[in-house]
Amino acid sequence: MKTALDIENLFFGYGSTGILRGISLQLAQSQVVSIVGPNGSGKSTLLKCLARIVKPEQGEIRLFGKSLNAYSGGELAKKQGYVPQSTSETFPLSVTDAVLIGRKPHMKWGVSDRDLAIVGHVISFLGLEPLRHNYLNELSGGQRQKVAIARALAQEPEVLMLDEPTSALDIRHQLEVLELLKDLSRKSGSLVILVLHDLELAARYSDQLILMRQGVVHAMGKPEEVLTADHVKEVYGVEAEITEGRLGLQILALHPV
Amino acid sequence: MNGLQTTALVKHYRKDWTKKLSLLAALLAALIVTGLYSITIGAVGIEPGDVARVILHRLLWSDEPMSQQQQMNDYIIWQLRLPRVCLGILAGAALAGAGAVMQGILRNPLADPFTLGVSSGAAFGAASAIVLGTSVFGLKLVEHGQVAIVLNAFLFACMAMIAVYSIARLKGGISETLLLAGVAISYLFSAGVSAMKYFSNNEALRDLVMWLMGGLWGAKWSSVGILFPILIISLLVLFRYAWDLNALSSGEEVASTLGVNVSRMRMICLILVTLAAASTIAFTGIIGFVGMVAPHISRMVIGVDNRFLLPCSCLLGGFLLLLADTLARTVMAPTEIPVGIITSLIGAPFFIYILIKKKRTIWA
Repeated sequence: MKTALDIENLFFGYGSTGILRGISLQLAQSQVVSIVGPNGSGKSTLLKCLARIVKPEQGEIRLFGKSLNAYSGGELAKKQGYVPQSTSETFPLSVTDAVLIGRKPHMKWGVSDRDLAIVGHVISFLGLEPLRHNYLNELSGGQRQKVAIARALAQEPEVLMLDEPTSALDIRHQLEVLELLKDLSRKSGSLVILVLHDLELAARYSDQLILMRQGVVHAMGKPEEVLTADHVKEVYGVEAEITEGRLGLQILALHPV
Repeated sequence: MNGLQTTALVKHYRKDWTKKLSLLAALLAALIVTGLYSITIGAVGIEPGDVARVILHRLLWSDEPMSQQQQMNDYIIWQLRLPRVCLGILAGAALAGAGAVMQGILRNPLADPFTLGVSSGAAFGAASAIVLGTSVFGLKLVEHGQVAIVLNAFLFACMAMIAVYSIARLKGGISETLLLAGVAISYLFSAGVSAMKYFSNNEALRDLVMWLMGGLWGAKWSSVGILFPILIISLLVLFRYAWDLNALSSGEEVASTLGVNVSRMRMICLILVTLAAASTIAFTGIIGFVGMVAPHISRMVIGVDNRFLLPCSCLLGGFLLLLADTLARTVMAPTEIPVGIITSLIGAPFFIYILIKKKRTIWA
């Protein structure tokens, strides 16, 4: 499988209190990768470094073999999309207009039929068809999150990054969104990188997990290799019982240690 | 891929596009008609036919001799009313366009040349020119004074914006910081204006109060000639940033991952907007409300896409200020009311009305 992202010795923030302290990893295409770890372990910062929202102090990120800094803003926006934890609009947009903004890297001034076709495709892919003309402030949190994902998908990215995409959603929307993302990685060969809090969901929907602790990668690999009782104890400070369930790992947190 | 629904989406979008373009065309037509009508009324009424004759006479460079009546009409129209109508439209367009862009880059419905300190900077500049100019340096206001007021107002308006922007940069350039810094700088300059008022003599105080209320009575072709190119150039560049502004509506992080260089774009937009607003206010004095109301009404009628919102705000701003100024000079003719009073007097209740009446919230 082709390597999409190659991260080498990444540092963010200085000294022993740094947020990221020497991260090196490689991520291949066509998979869902989840970054997990306790609060303040540097998950979101790592994602933001990859999305070039913040610049690391040290280290190198290569996207498809080319340094991330060598991409122009527009070039990068065609390669990767980013969905923040929550979005707020000052002035209400319709769902169609919001998704159309994702075509920005591909447009100059006018909107082509192809742009609109992609917007229509993405909208129906996410099941937003009935809400096409609604305004974002009329939607529920789950629907808004789907619009944000649709906007990123309209960029036609090869790498899609999402910061806690399920944190504001009810259980049904959580499953729907993760199902869609998994589907996407299979069908279009995209690399989907998530920051997730829920370990069971992360294990169930990810091909690989990155477990972070205090700015370093504590473990990385298949969910069942990463989420062991020992690792959970070392990283989260929690005694846990982990069993193989019907749909993936089941993690029962017993008590803090 | 659902072909049928996609076709429906394309069709709907194209139809919507045509509708918006027609709306802009209608606004432009209304603006021109109102402008021409405004020329016919005033202390001396002039028949529409005579207006057309005078304008055509000028435009065609005709050397046909004119009657005495025609010469008088020519003077009233060409030297008094037409430059005033043009200045009104330009000023309204500049203030409204500035408001729309400021609201966009700050992602705040309250942003306009006032809240960002441009207006109070200009007020302080004008005040110092009027008060210090007449009392300290003994300048004759009518002659050099006018130029000094305009230049000073412009300089201080720009200085206010630079101060606001630097404060925000120091703190990391977040939108809220810009707005708060704008409010703080506004108060600072307002205090300066109050001090000027307190220490000024009667004559200067009268001039200052007049300036602060805002008016288009000083309209000349020379001011139109300065404002027009500034406005056109700023607007053309700002229109190029329409998609960037659209992208920014989803937040700075999203905009940057969509390929927008947020800090550069914000700086360029702020410079252009300050240039347009400051040069306008320098000539007209403080005219409130147009800069905030016109973008909000535009958003309701044409939506939030900045490719349409910017031209719509400009046209509507020009139209509103033209109407207000026509009222200002005709309601109590031959006495004139400062147009700033009219815009706020009619604008505020109207704005409150649409706030309550509107179906969809204009901001989330």
